Amino acid sequence: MMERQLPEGFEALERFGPKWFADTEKQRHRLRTDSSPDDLNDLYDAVLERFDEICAELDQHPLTELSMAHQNLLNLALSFMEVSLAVEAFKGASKVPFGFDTERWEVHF
Amino acid sequence: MSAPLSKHEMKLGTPIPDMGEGPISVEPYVSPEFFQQEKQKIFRNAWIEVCRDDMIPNPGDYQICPMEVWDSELIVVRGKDNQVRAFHNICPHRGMKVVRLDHDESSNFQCGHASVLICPFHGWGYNLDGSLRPVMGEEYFDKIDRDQVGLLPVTLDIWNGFVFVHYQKEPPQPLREFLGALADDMEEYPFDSFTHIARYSAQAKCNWKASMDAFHEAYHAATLHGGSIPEAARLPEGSVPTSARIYGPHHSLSMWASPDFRPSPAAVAAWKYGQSFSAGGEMKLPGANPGNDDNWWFDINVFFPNFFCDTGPGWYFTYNFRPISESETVWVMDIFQKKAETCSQRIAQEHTKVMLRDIVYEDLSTLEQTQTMLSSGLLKTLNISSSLEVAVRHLHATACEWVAEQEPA
Repeated sequence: MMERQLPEGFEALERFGPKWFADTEKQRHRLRTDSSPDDLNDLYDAVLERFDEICAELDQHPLTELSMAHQNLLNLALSFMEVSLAVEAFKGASKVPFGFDTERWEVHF
Repeated sequence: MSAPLSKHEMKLGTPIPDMGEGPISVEPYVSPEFFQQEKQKIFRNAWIEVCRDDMIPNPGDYQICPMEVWDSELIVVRGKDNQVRAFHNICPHRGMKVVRLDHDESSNFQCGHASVLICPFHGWGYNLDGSLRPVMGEEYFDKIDRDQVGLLPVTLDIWNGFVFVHYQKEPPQPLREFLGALADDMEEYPFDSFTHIARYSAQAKCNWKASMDAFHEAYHAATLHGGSIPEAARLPEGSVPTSARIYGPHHSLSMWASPDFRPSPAAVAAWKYGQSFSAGGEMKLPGANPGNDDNWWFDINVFFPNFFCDTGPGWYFTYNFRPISESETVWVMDIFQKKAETCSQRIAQEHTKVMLRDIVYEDLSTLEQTQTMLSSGLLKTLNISSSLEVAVRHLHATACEWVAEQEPA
């Protein structure tokens, strides 16, 4: 049997993996700048709707000892935060409108 | 006809020195000659912040700190005696860099760990206190005087975990005296209880002072950040610091958050579980909000010449502006937050990062466009407000004063 990508009860969010389960801010930021407004809105809406449930599930486990499925869920929630300003403030624009060049901007973490 | 906007008062926590009135000269932002003077008279006479000591927590941990304005690069290293020292990254044998980082390291933290620092050219090795170890083939050299030949030391001192260096062997002022009353105000802030959660950097074709000027006034927020921080768009309060303090060459401003601010859904989610940069923090920390201002958001603290340390309720962030030339600057931002104990706190932390990062994308967008046009020579002066842009005037005045009055080191 294939290992579950996300904890039980969160199967509906598995369609965002493995892309939005990326481990680092550097990777998530790159994904966000390369995504369409529709993709960003889709991710934002789907995670926001389940946000409290996600936190409740994850907080049953210590931050530093997460299973793969729980780590994926945490990373998905971090991806939600990554795209939040794009959706809430910039009308879905994947890059900050008129912002500094993302190619010359280093994200170190 | 609509009534004029009422004037929102900015409290003054200190007397404001005479910094002249009216327009300020463009020359200090564009002149190569002025920049050469700044290199000698400002950056060789002031203490310069380079990193935090908890980035190198263990003996043998080191950090490489580029110091273009000294035409050098530094190694900041924790010795076996736990003492943090700084050296120029140059081997006295033939001038090679003693520590060189592979690409992965240099693109990340520029840090590493070693029990001995060994020059990759001929293998000359140095203890962590800078002393030369036995040299391969030493019998082929004239006597090597170990009192004279070692890594070149750099004067270093630490305040509240922030590592500062000075070009001179005997600085005109000790570090703590140089940091003065601004450090008094910030002394009790619990810097050592925070963790480093993000670093961003960029090299921009913009003067270092013009770059800093984009970050120490709130007047731009209503326009430039109208989309990303709509709470800042309320005039006039959102444009006026609630209080300002000038301490010698340094200054500090407190920023206001609108009580009518309606946080976004992601900000609400973040605040429910942890701290966010988004306005709404109620954590009272010592060493912040020195004027005890109402609706306080955060403090902008600027240590002359080129270091920001902005303190908020549960997070703080720093900027270092490293001058490359009169028209080029490396900007580095580090964000620190209370350690996340739970997964949901970790998620909330991400909101701080992302919000700050996206806002600062907007701030940086102005730098090169401003510098390009300033360099045209079309303008000889800039028309700044003495209150809204008091920090812009103060940095300009302080740089001009140091260039006029300090001795080259």
